[in-house]
Amino acid sequence: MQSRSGDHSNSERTGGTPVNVTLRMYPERRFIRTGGSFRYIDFYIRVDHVPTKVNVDRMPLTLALVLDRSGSMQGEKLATAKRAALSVLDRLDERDSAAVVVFDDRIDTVQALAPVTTNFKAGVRKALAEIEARASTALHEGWLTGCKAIASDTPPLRERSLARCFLLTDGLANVGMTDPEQIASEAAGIREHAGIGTSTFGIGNDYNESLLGPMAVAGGGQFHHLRTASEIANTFVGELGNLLSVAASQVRIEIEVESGMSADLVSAYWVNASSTNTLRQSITIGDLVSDEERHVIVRFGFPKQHGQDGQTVRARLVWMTDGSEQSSDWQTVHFSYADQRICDSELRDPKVMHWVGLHQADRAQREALQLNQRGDLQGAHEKLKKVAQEMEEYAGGDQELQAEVKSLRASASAMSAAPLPSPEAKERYYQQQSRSRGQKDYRKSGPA
Amino acid sequence: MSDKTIDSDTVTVYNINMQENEYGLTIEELAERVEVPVRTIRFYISEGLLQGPGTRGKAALYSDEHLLRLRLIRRLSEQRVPVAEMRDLLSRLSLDEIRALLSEEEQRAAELERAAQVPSPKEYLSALLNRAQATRQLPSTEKPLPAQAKSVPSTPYLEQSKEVWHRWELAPGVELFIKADAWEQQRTLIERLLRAARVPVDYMGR
Repeated sequence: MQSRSGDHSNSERTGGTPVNVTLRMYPERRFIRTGGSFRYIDFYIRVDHVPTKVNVDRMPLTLALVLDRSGSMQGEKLATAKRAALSVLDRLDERDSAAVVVFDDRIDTVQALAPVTTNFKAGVRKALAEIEARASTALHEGWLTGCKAIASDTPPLRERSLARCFLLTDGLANVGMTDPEQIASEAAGIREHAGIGTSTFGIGNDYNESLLGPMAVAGGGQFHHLRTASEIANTFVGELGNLLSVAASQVRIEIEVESGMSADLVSAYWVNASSTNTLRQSITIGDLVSDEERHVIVRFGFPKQHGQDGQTVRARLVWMTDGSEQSSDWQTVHFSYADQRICDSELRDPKVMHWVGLHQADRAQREALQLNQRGDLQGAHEKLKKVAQEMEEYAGGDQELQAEVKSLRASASAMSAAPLPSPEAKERYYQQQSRSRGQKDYRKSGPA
Repeated sequence: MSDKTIDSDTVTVYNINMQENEYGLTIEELAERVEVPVRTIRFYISEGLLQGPGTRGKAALYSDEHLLRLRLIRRLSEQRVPVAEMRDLLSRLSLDEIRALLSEEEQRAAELERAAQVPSPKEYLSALLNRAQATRQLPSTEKPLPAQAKSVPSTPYLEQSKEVWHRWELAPGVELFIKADAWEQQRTLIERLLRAARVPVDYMGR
């Protein structure tokens, strides 16, 4: 372990290939005030992987394609969605299994789960050709049906494939459950109990990004905003390429704090509290590919000093490789109580604050967008202004952070005037969430 | 009152105030602790899996080591390990090794029991889907709300209710409930409300 950062690596083998997953904890400062303080920690995750031929060593994939066939998908959107689904299947082989579900206010399983053989692909092609756009949008049930179609009878820990549901929709969920928070909770539960991740693809200007975004975050997948039908195929294939390169799946950070402390997740991830330990939380990161790195920013609140010399934050990484759960050892960062003079003289780590700033800005933009879209223009303005002021205090010579501050101020002005047009709001939401999660944009280029 | 009793089944005399760590367990007590029949314990002794008691006679007593070995034998037996294999294994293990192996086996058994109580992924998803289908509601908004209001769907909510209400979600945390028989009577008002719900609130007079 390295002394400053508490680095810990784990090397595990995947089909004969070593997978090195590293967690490092970088605090912005180490001293805390005796009267109570807030401090940020940058949890840095990296996956190293010895390059292999993807098609030789990759994990098999179990995929559900869930496509909206409601009335508004008529024409080019549905046609392109079908082509995109077939493009995805063409890139899979018999190691993989897939199911295809379409929904409007009725749910139809076009193809039940089966290995992706040549006959399977031909069958799906024929079945999709007959699908026409119809009625309303039972998004929740459609999605659950897709997940159930690929759910196994054995516990997820024993499965040696990666399971993912791709949900494509252009509209508002208007049949069945529609509450974004409830649905996101279910997505988290499905990921945890059934080992099935959810990626969402919203096309056009009418879907609810506040539903699809959190679904994907909680589901350990990715949310994609598609501006036009032509972006469906690139994004489907790009997301698939990502899945076929996964080296460590169902990655999560488990964090333990001491009594009286608080932990506020700044980055765009889903957090679960432990049901048995109130001082432990679990942050869902998702599936990571070779050479991927992520920064996860958490702000910790420390209570007043009551005799103890400091407070400790512990963390470890947990993930799946080769069908078995792996974990790193617990790492520790200790914060020491000190008087005001010492606290004031300690400099913030600029590298840590760089990532804190970017993720703070992303969160502020996302939250302001939601306020703006609900009509709370003043609230949106205040939120952005406040965060811009905070960032100015620590941005210093960091040019990227200075540019972020300018961007926040510009957004504050724009959002105080009127609700942003839906296309712009969705694009901004998508950009901020993607950056916070280190997610690639496949819309124009497909996979790298 | 005597603190000794006679077990009429086995004619074994034992002291009910006996401390286990001082004097050991009788075969009946051993059987009760490990939840195996007495005759099974005698079988294990005859097969060489377990040594006989430290003392002879009607008050024969068994030690903590007997207890540990017997618990391990029971775990291995549940996994259908053949007697010969158990005999060979137990003959090679020290007491500490028996303790360690027993701890592993008991943990594994506990995990299997927990796993058996946890629904499979398919069962988990089935439960979610059943719940979703059972409480399916009306469309909450049209997508998108057009300039002229569309006719609303007529599928009733909760058909088993005496009254039928339609639910529309206007925004997170804001819902509109409309009684089924009010649709036609109040159509103009309803359409106006739904249209209005899509227009942002103008704060501060801007």
